[in-house]
Amino acid sequence: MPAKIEVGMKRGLPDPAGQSVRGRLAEDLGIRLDDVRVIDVYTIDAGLTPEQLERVRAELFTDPIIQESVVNKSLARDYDFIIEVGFLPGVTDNVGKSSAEGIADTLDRPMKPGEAVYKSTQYALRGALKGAADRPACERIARDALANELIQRWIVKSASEMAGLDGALLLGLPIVTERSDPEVHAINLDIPDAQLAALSRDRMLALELHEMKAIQAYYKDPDVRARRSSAGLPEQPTDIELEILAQTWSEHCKHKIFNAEIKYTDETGKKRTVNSLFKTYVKATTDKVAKQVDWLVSVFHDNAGIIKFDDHWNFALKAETHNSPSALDPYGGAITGIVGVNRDVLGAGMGCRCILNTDVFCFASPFYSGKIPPRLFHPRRVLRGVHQGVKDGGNQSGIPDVNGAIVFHERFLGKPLVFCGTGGLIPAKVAGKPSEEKGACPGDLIVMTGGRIGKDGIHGATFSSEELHEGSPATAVQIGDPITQKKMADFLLEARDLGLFTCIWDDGAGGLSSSVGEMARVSGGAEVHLEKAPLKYAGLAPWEIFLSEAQERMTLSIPPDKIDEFLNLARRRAVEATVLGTFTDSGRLECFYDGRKIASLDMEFLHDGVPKMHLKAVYTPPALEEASLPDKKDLTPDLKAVLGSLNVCSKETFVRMYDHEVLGQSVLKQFQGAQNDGPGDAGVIRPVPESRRGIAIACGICPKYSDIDTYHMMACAIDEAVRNIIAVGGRLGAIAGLDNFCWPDPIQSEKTPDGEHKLAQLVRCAEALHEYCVAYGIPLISGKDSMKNDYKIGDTKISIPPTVLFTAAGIIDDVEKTVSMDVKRPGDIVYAAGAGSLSRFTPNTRRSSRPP
Amino acid sequence: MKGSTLTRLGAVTPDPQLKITGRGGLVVNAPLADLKEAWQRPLRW
Repeated sequence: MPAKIEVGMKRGLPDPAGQSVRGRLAEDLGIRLDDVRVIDVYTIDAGLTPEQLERVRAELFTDPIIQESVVNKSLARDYDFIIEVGFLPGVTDNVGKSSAEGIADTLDRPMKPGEAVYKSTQYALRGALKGAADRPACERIARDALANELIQRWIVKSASEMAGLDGALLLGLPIVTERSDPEVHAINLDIPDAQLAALSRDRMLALELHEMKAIQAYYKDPDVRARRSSAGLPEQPTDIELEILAQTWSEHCKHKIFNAEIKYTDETGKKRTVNSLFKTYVKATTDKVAKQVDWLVSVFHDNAGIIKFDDHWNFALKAETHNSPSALDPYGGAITGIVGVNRDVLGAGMGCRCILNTDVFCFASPFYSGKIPPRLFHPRRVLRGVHQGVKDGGNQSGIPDVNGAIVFHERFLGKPLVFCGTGGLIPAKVAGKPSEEKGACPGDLIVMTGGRIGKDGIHGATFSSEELHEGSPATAVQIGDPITQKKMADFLLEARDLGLFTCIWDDGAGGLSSSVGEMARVSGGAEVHLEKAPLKYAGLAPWEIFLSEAQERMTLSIPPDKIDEFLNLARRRAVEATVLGTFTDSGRLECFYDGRKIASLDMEFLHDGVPKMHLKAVYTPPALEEASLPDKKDLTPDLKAVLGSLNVCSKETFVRMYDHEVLGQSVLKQFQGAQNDGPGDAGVIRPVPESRRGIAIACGICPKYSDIDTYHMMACAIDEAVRNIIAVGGRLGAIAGLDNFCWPDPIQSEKTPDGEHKLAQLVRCAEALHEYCVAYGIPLISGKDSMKNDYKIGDTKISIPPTVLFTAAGIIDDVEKTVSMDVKRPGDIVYAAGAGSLSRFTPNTRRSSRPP
Repeated sequence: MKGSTLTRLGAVTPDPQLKITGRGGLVVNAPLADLKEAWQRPLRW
């Protein structure tokens, strides 16, 4: 029989969490209550004795100064309704997991298999809602304010119903009850085109017809057939093979649009062909600038870009987006975004220590009063959830947030954008070798470390095709666990310095399929035994084990003579590490389950077999008129209106909650000025205490410009980031850039009739990226693109404004010479530098001799 | 800064007031506290 511990604030003390919920209910739902108390509920399914329960209640779960708690009783009093919210089966429960570890430590008694702690939360409501007629209002509170039905469940109980339920479990245990046989199916591809397209759609492979046909052709090849038959594999692809191909060939992993051949017609009707936006504009930029700078260490091919910090240290930088997941579950999507990009940096080179985070969000107005289309949340709820997720992800990992932005535009209602960036530091040499060099050797063991595998995040965060039933895990959403990840990160950096591995890779999008598939490119093949993989619960099909995006995992290649030392260290650091197979030079990626071969794919076909896309882009500039300034005497009200507009006003409420200080390296923080509430231009840190060198981090983003011209949207974003770096004391020649593209679908189709225009906007934007970065001497060291930021349900379609986040990192020679943004003393003279635009509005000012 | 165009716009004063002149007169004249309040109010949740 599971036990239950309830913990709340002492009666007589204010309950800040409850007050915050009360405020939200009033503000967001217009429901005004007299009181809300929040009670933390820990359901312990572990067979503890009453003495043990009492001990963990007092020692582990309760702060005796401010909290009270009870075992197997109800704590709530003086309420009208109780709403209890808990997770659905299979959803990551970070607090429950930490509680189980806490119990094991407190009682010095390891948790047995099958034992667990589940966290839920009770909200005791008083006032306004009293009788049975108010139950629908309580349901509404639960659904619209307290819980997310994709990952959580809830129960509403009135005070009279609770009378007979003292200490009872209100929600059942969220145990995954689903059991399916780990079967592997062959999938017939000898079918007409229409059925191939349907297969891609129904299995959520996200492959275009010409890609499905390339796979079909591969399996018809007589050599492939002969080899499959001798290996005991079916003629047709197995489900796991098809899933591996779909993941490896996904837009997310192969950047097919950025590598496409584009026939571009410009505004004058002139035609030209762009063969890969990536090669023509992104890589070409870095290739050109690389001739002028001597500090590029590793660009494009690793998890993050790496530059030189000084003779002893290198600096890695990466930014990612997590847009669709954040639309479904703002909190889970955002926390997964931040801990995910942390892992990119942990996986860069031989493993970097994360030293800073950035966060940039794009939302619709939190004051939006129109109708919310189905399956979307109100922007206010998205803003709160995303902010909480990034705050928890960063603060709990002990990584300071140094820079960011919140941008508002009505079309982000369709899809919020959540950019998370991370910087990391790594010694220039690790175990005697350059730390950016890595690679699995044939014979090295494939080792997975960190969290276990569940059905979380299969097929990314698209809605699961199967309905969610009582016992089915929530596959659509993942929730990052910073605590597990922090432990793993510290362990891996220790193993790195001992020289225990030859390569490290993040298990992000695509899970093992992605990390093993990428690492096997160096060795030339891999052999994976999937039944060895540690699972969160039984019942995963082999392809699900290989494709799951369950978080907090890294894959390593470990020479056989180092494996004992590595596994020993993992045990001592309480990090799970499992040998799953071997890297080979067979030229094939092969998977086994219980000794049976279930997948064998040629590495060459897997990585280079995806057919090139051929796209068309036509640019038609929009017809726009220049704004005219009204002739007014007093502009003070206009200035106030600008200051109070959403994109200009202070975001201190949100930014203040991030930890800016942890690691003790800050030079210029997010807030500056006499009252410490003015926003700084760029964040500056001094990561190596014995050196006066620093790193300045700034962002530029201006999606509004895209409706005028995406070329200038890009140019302005670069310029904004660069000016921020220069303003704090950085200099050109020591700035590196990251480009993160978020675009609406730019492929012409029935659902995207303006695809050719949107692709043309992308071409113009990439042109600007190239021209401005070459002019400024900024190499692009890493980047990412997210290409399908649209919402379409029924007749409602919302496409985001084309958006690029430009992140700039400047190496500062001496942090003691940095400059904060505040004015320093009366009498100081104010100048505008580079006065191009000023001359237009103030004709009496001395004109600039240079064009704007 | 060599080769940069600089335009002198004004000076920092001890009194907490923002004054901007242009178009032949004073176009902005407001206490800093008012401007700051306008800037901080919208998202002070």
